Amino acid sequence: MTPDDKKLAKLARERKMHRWLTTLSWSVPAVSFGGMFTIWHAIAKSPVATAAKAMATQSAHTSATHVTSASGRTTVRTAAAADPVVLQQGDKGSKVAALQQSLSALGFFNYAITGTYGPITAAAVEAFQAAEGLTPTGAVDERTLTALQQAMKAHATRALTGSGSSSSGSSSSGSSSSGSSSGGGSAMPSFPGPVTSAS
Amino acid sequence: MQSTAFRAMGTDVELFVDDWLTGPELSSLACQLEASIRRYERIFSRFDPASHLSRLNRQAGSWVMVPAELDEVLKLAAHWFEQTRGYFDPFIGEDMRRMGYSVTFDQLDVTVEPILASTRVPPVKPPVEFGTDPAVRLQPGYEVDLGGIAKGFIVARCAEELRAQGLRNFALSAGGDVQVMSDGEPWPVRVANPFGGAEPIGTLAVKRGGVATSGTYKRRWQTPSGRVMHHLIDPFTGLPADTDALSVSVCADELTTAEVLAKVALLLGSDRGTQYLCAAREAGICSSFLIATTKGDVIPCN
Repeated sequence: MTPDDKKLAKLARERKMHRWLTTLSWSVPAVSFGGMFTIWHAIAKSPVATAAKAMATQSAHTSATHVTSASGRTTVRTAAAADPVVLQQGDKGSKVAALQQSLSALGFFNYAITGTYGPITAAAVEAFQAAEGLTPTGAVDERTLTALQQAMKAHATRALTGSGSSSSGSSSSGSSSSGSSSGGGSAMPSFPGPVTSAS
Repeated sequence: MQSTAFRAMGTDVELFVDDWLTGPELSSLACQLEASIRRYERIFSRFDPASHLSRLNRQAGSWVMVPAELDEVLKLAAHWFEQTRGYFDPFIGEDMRRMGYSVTFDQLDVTVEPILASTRVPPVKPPVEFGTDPAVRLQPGYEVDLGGIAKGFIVARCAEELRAQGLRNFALSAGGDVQVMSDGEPWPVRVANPFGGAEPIGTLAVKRGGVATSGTYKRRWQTPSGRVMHHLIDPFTGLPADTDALSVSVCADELTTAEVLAKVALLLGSDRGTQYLCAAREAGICSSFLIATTKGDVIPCN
């Protein structure tokens, strides 16, 4: 082994040691912080903490305030942006196709269903937003989506229960005959026959 | 009257027979019936990864060969999707799977607060295409849950098989769906009490046809925040439906028709649901119905 080789080996060892120390210096605080959290939660959930909480409420114990705040029933919610965008220009797929179909059914979109959110779809979304009194952004945010869902539901409801246009064209052959029904409220408690119920 | 019962399709299957049969004859019929149902389950179950339906769901986006029965029920589902303008929607999107919809109810962890936001964009046309052979292509991003309509189809098919075996007066029931086949008197089908009482809230008399009930009173649970949830999903919002109908029972020639109409009327709510079912009755699509509301009213229609 030449001195150069030795030097190189030494350098490699040092580099390895350096890497190891770096990893250690990052992981130790991370692990200990995580551990502290686990312990904190365990304490917060334990009956001791509840007792401590009760004690804290009885006598304003300074050391117990921390525990109290930890055991306080805070519902952790995933913080979402004020009105996150669900679909926007550039998106593709079945949801975009459904959006185009919906806008088409509502009369805001008159082109082929492509499944690609382009400028024409964006313009249709803007028109829909304007009609609904929303800020016309051309992107489908949650508020726009809710408005679209409700508009589609109202559209379908009108079609089903609106004047004269009730559902027709039963697929049933009509060859069999079902009997008429008798009464609501008349109970037949002891009859051991079939019962219909929701599942 | 004789009866026999067993468990299948995740529910209780009951057969009531008014013909004269010996004990062994009845049990032999029940055995054949159970075998039939198991055969259909292997096609339609969404919770059996080996079923034809599960295979179709996994291969959404490509053409899949399906058995004739699945092709028939999917066509029926697509037909009713169009007829009801999406109110009947067995095509659930990826956005609905998040709500714990992908597991059977027994597996559902009811202690968690479900996500009460949905990014559902309701489809306008059934996201399924039919080819020859029979082959089916499901649009990518969708899954089929035939649920009630498949159960209705299975019960009706099995009832036909029993009739072919020589039974003339009988009722076949599976988890609340009843198919009656009678050559004589109409059968009284009692409607279960959705308010918690033991007394039925009414009776629908059926000579030959199906009775199905859809309700929000079963499989409901309360979230930690006190909100009452149920399993009936509004296909437009992707969230549990906000309806004042508690239970809707419909009697129609076809059990699958009864199944669809009951579900749609439940989603429409008691007023619009009554309106819709009355129109359907006038059009000859259903023969009678019974609606119970959350206010405690019972609306019968004979």
